[in-house]
Amino acid sequence: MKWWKLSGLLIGVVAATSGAVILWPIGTRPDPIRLDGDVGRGAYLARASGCIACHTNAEGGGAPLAGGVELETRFGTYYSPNLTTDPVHGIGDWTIEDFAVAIRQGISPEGEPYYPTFIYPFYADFTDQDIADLWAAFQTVPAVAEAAPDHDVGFPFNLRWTLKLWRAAFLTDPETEPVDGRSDIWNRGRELARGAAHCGACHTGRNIVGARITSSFYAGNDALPGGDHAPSIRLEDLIDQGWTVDSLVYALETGITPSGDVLGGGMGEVVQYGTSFLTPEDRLAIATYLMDPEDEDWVRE
Amino acid sequence: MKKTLATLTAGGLLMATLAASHQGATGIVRERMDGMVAMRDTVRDLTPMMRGRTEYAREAVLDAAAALERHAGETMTALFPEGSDDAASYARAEIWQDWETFEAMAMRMEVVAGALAEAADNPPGSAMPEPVDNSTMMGGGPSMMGGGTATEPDPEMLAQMPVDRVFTVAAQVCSACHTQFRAARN
Repeated sequence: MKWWKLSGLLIGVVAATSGAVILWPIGTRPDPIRLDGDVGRGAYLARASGCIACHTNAEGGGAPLAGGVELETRFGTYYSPNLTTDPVHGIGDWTIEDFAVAIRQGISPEGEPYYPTFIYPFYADFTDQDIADLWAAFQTVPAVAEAAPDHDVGFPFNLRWTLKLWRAAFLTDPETEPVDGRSDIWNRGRELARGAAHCGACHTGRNIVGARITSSFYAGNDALPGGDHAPSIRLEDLIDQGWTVDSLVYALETGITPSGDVLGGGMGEVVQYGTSFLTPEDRLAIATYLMDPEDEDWVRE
Repeated sequence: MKKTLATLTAGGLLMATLAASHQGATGIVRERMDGMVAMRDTVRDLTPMMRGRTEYAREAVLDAAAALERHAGETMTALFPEGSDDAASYARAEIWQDWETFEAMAMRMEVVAGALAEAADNPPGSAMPEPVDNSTMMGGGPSMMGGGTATEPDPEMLAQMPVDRVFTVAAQVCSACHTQFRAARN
């Protein structure tokens, strides 16, 4: 075969395949959500989930949830979007179903997949009531008519449709449901740690395309955006570092560690904007879960 | 006994790690690390009392507050001259790019440490003064959907708060500064 025929064929195959992927429908629309949301509960969940931490450019003096927080990764620089009620630059013109699909499935109202810098995989098990509560809370956020900067991502990651392949390969269930035979508080800790509080977003290692590696569950990550580093939070390492349920609870509330040091970096932010707002019971739940982990996850090497 | 030994070993390892991480630091970088370590040890030693785990001793709080105050404010900022970010340092360059914020945090630490001493008369578990609203969860004002922490209490307000709450406020100042200006590692 002549070289031009071969390359023509190759180009044809690539074009047909990517065309198919581009058109590949993703996600499912939920049934209409008509539940009444509770603002207080929603705000609490938003705190626990890090919405406010990631979508408020506190260092830059930005308004709450107006986005613009820079996330420097090896794929490019991402900016968290504006989640205020502004209809043009925020989510003011969304429906609650749009919101549900964005949060639980990581798909925009236009049907485009979000980058996994948005940690929607952890939110997949949120109930309709959770969504209604969050939605009610987000309605209380004053509109900010200012666009967050566009992501600055290089080829091929700038092609959104490639994320469909990523989703097909790496999107897994967060497994937040209760485990039989475990205490209520442990199960609550599991729900928070594996879900809303998304510990694994930073504390689980990621592969070359930024997907979490199951065998690195909670084993730490040295290559976080912005050069940050998250230590292992596996039981043996927590014990090595002098942690107990009791000291973890206090650290999640105050940032104070057993050595007297006070957490900074990404975890400082997590405490300051998130876990310090949780109830003592929820902080105890997270600590209880971390100090009494699930066996199967720790032997999967 | 075995447990004690294990705890001691773990503690020893931890100290060794921390000591090692400050190795190679000299001059002013070393000096500010020593200051930070002194503050760290102060926080460590005061924590059980602030949590109500050991008997309350007003004098100990006054000593700790004085130690924190001594290392904060201008004493701290003077140890961060521009360009003093050698390989051993954990200081992020942002300190000098946003000196005003860094300086304000160091000053805030001094103020809060002073208030901690004032609040030493209010042992852990004392009543909160009115009106302190800690429920700023989601944004400006008293709703929860916004801002980081609630509006910063002033020194007078802090002085009336239970001492353990003021201790927590001090930790928030440490954490905010470490979040913005301390490198995770070199």
